[in-house]
Amino acid sequence: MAYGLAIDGFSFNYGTYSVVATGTVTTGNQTFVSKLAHPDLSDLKVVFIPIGVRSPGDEEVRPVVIENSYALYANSPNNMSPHKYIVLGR
Amino acid sequence: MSYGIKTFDDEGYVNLHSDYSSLVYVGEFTKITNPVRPVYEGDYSIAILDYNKNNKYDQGWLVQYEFDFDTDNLVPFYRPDYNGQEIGIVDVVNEGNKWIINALFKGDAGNFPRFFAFAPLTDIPTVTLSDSGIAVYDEDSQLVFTDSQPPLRIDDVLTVQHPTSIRTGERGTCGRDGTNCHINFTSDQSTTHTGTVNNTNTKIYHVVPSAYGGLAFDNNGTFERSCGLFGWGDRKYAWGYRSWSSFRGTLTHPYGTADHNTGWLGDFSGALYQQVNGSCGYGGFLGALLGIVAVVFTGGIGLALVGGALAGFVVGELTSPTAPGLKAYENDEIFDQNSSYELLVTDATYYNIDSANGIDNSIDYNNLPYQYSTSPRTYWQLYSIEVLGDTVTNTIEIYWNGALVNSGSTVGEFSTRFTAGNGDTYIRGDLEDTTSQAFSGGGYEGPPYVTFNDKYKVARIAYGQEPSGDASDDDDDDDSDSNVPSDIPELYANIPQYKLGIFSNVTAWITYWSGSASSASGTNTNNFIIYNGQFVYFDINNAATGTSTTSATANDGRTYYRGASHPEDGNPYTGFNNGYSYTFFGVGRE
Repeated sequence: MAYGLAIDGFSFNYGTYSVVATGTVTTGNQTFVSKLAHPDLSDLKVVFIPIGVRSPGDEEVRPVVIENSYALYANSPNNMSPHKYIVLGR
Repeated sequence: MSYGIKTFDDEGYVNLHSDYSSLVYVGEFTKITNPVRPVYEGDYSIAILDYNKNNKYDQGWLVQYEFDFDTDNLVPFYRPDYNGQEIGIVDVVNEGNKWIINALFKGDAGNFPRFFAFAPLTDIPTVTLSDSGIAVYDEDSQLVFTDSQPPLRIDDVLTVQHPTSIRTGERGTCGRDGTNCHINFTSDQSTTHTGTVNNTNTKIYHVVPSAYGGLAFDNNGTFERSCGLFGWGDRKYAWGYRSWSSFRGTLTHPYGTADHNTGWLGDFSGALYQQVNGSCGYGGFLGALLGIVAVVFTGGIGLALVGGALAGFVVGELTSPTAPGLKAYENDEIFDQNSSYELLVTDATYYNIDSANGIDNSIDYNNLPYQYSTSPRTYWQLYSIEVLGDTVTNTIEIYWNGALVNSGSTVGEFSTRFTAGNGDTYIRGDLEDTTSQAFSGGGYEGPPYVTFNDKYKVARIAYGQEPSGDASDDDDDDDSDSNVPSDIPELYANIPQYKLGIFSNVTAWITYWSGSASSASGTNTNNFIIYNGQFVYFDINNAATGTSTTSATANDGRTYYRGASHPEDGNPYTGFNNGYSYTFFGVGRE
């Protein structure tokens, strides 16, 4: 093992994502995660996990993420079905 | 950070940080429903059989999984059942400790994918640490890393999006004669996103597609025919045709490439045709006849799904709805296609997840109900020829209730399971009959050889309907109207021969009544049962029992149950031209 952490036979040198933040996306509200608050992390991703049945009949949509150099913004349209967000970072 | 631990991977990214919880594997979801392909079966519906579901409506299978685990956050991953399988997560439902996934997949009913759960380590109530190793805690004394629960290992990550249309090719048309007509809605659009790591059969994927939509076709018109005395009058007719296929965003991950293709797969389809006419006259009233189909269409289509198709998707103890929402389309539409979302790729082997296909945890594989019968044939047969002690050729034939279920498929000599085209899996049991041996050859005939015809018991894990005596006969898969108890095989065989007057090997419950109209009253309908070519039950002297008869004690003293209807054989069938209409059902026998 040329680099990384060796723990009692377990080599931990691979890439992973840690959980930076979690929460519930609230309809009509914008959730944001400041990059400045996590200076050790250079790559942040947001995954949205639905927590209820989406109704195509009501044209429900999922939240979306918008990223700039300062923050990640989770946008939640009015016709959004319920979701949680998990911000992953490395 | 002013204290704690921080390590990096070979790309320079942080892979351990004591401020942040790792994401760890916590278990596998259990499949809790049989896969279904619901279609509209309300007023004026046109039957959509398996062939059309596959080739016209591009319809996949809806299936539901469950995972009980005490966590507030969960990231699901799936493993495709075969190379290039289309899969889409439709819904994730969480209430308390219960997590439900509704998924859509392509293939046969038995090709359901597997789902795995990852959760933040900080969400897990109890974690067992190794006797030696490392444990890392954050400033709130929460465990954020331990070698006993290694973190999610990321092989690849991509941002993906769905194509802007579902189909651009020709679809065909249906018109005035469209009582059994179907438009080709099969999706021909996909978008390829190329990553850095090749797909294999051990890769597992997290992605929750956002896009969905539908394709629809509408046509209507009028015509008139002469009527009345000397044909001087005219009778006006109006007709309408409408069909649709509802789609969800899905992905494929072809082995040996780093490609991930976003595309579309149908989850709900329907077709209707209506025709009305006025009386014989000389005037016009055409306006009253137009728009008839639209009126029907808007009349509560959601309630007119195939009976009970999604009933199994309702998790009774939850207050949250768990059955997927389905939508009927009147026009081409796409929703939520503009969103981009993350695709995470990892490998099942990192978490000691076996690579078996689609394990159904609801089945007790240690106590399968193996069966053996020579009439009708129900066994797993290995026919082999040995020359001087070496097997030179072998053939496997698997029979279930007289049907050769592996017809056209090669099964290996040492195989112990076989999955048929309809998704049913057959598992070889103990050797039952080894008596059939023959010795030949020697001398001028060549070397002596021995033929063996070993017969094994066999068990069937059913996802589709009972085989029908002809493995190529892909029956309608809606069993919702079946009255056969779940522990009794349902048979349905050789109706085409029955229509030709050949009764041997026919098995069916048949009703008939006078006239061509649908028998909705439940009276004046006669029942009879043919089982393996034997007429075992008639009730023509008790016609009043009608369509309400769903079980009967036959001449042989055994109880028979009326099974699922088979619209592919024309229900109601009037082709005998004897003034009677016939309906064909499967049948089960105690």
